Amino acid sequence: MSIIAIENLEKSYHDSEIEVRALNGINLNFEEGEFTAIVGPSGSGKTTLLNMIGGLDKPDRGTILIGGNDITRLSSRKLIDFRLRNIGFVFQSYNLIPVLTAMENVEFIMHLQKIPRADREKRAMELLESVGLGDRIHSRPSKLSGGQQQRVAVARALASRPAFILADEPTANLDSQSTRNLLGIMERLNHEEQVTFIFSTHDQRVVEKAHRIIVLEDGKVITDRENIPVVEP
Amino acid sequence: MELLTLAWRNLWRNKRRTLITATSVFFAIWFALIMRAFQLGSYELMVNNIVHAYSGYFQLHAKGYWNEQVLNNSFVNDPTLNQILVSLPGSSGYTVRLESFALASSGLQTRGVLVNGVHPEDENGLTSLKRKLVRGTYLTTADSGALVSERLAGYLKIGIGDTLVIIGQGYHGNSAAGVFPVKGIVRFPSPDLDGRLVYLSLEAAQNLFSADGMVTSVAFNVTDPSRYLKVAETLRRKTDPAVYEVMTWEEMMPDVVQQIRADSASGLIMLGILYMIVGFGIFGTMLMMLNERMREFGMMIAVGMQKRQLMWILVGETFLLGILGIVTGVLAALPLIYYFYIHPIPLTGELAKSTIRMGFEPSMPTAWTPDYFIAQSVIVLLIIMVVMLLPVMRVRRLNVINAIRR
Repeated sequence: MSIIAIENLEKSYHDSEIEVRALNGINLNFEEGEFTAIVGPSGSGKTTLLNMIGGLDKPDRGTILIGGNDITRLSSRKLIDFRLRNIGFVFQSYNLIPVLTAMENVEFIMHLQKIPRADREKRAMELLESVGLGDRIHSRPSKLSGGQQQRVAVARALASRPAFILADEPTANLDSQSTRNLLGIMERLNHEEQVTFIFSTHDQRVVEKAHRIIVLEDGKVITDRENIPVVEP
Repeated sequence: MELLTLAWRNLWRNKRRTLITATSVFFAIWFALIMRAFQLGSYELMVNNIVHAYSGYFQLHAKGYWNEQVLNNSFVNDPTLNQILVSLPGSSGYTVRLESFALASSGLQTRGVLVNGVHPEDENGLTSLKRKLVRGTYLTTADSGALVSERLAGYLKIGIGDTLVIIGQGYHGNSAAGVFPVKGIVRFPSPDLDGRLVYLSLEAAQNLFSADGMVTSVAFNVTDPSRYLKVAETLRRKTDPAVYEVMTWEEMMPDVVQQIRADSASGLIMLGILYMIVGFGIFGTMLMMLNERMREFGMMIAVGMQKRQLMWILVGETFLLGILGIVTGVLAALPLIYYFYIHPIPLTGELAKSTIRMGFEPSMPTAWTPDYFIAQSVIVLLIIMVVMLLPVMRVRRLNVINAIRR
């Protein structure tokens, strides 16, 4: 069964008098354990689609079923709670809380979920170790490199044990070494722990690692195909 | 990671800005407290001077006496009433008076005076009359002599041992005339009082005015000045309102109350302006902080923080910022206010002279009561709470996508 089922998704924006159709009848299904890249030129609707799947924006028409729940019908409050329990986010600009340490940033989500302190500390530690930052748990974001911050963001996204992780251009601000490290971690999590990743990207290195590639153009799915990931030598 | 801890850390992400804002709150509360302390201290001193100069905190009269101050509106201090006066809870003493206007004469000089028949020791207990004695000796209980105020003595050109003639109207139309040797000269700071007071023993005054056993007023002192209204109320309840009236010094001297209120209002307007400036300062800080952190707020809501929780963090930050300024401001003001409460600033020169002429002590003390500390702190907190509405409204209207895109 699909963990995400999207039907006839439409979204338009009004820019002055002009109507921009960001999504134009999208139909997609995502299975558990997928490692999917959504690609396309700027303005093709990638970010809008991710925002819709993440419940950050509401469509004009269509449904988004996640685990059987149509999130387009949820109230703002319930939607926030739904995101907290089901969706992990990785943003292009990391978006860590600057006054919290790496450990506390990861714990933050679990604190919102009201998980007891001992449990959340244990899990935060495990997650930071799994992204290779076991020795930087007490560092604040300003003391971490961009790549390290993005790895903390991945650990934070995993903290709530979400059904899937949405990553909007996760490597856009990273150098090639950091990109390789991050992709390695995401691939391992996907392979070993069956974590579902859906990410939008322009980065060819990321696209090459995807198991499925969805190409959007003018708000429509142009291509939706499986991909054999490139294995690093 | 508790939300309050997060709020506290957020407060220090821009140390300089937080310190500047907290310092503005600090100075606002510090200035407000110092200013209010001297203002209220001056009023307390004024009231204290008035109360202990003559009126007492409250007085008991026959009903209608205050509006028509004549001997016919006097009353008998019978044993039943006396028992009520003696056992009045909260009273630290009282003085019984028989007061009437009369003409005083010596040689060729004549002047209208206020004759006060008093129990000398009781009167001294309330008004420290003995301390005002500048020449001669103080009265005794059944004294036949008189104490004359200094200005009046000067006008009548009399001194110790001279004879003072008093002529007037007695109780129920009897004529009153008496001759009294001047036993002492008393000095009152107020020129008005100093120019017209004559003290006799109560017995001598009752004989003069043919008002045997009669009194016109009983003036009370209290153990706790802050509770004098309650003590007056107790007396009011214990006496027959058809026969007696109980009046506080405020009811007897509404002009003084008006003067204090007008002065206090001008002080409060100054404080209002000060608070408005500080309020806008905090508002500006909040505005800058909100604009800088919109993306962070967007992310927090995106990953699952309810807007209500985010609002609490921001409210916590504003509150902590305000508390920081208030607590340090109060702590810095306390020792200074206490010092000037113990050691009032002495007034000198013309200011001192004019203060004395008005009948008040020439000094500027501070008030040492918790009321205005609490009031000023609460006012600043209220301002901060109004400013808190800004982040609350901004978060309420926050669009997650727009915020993350910033």
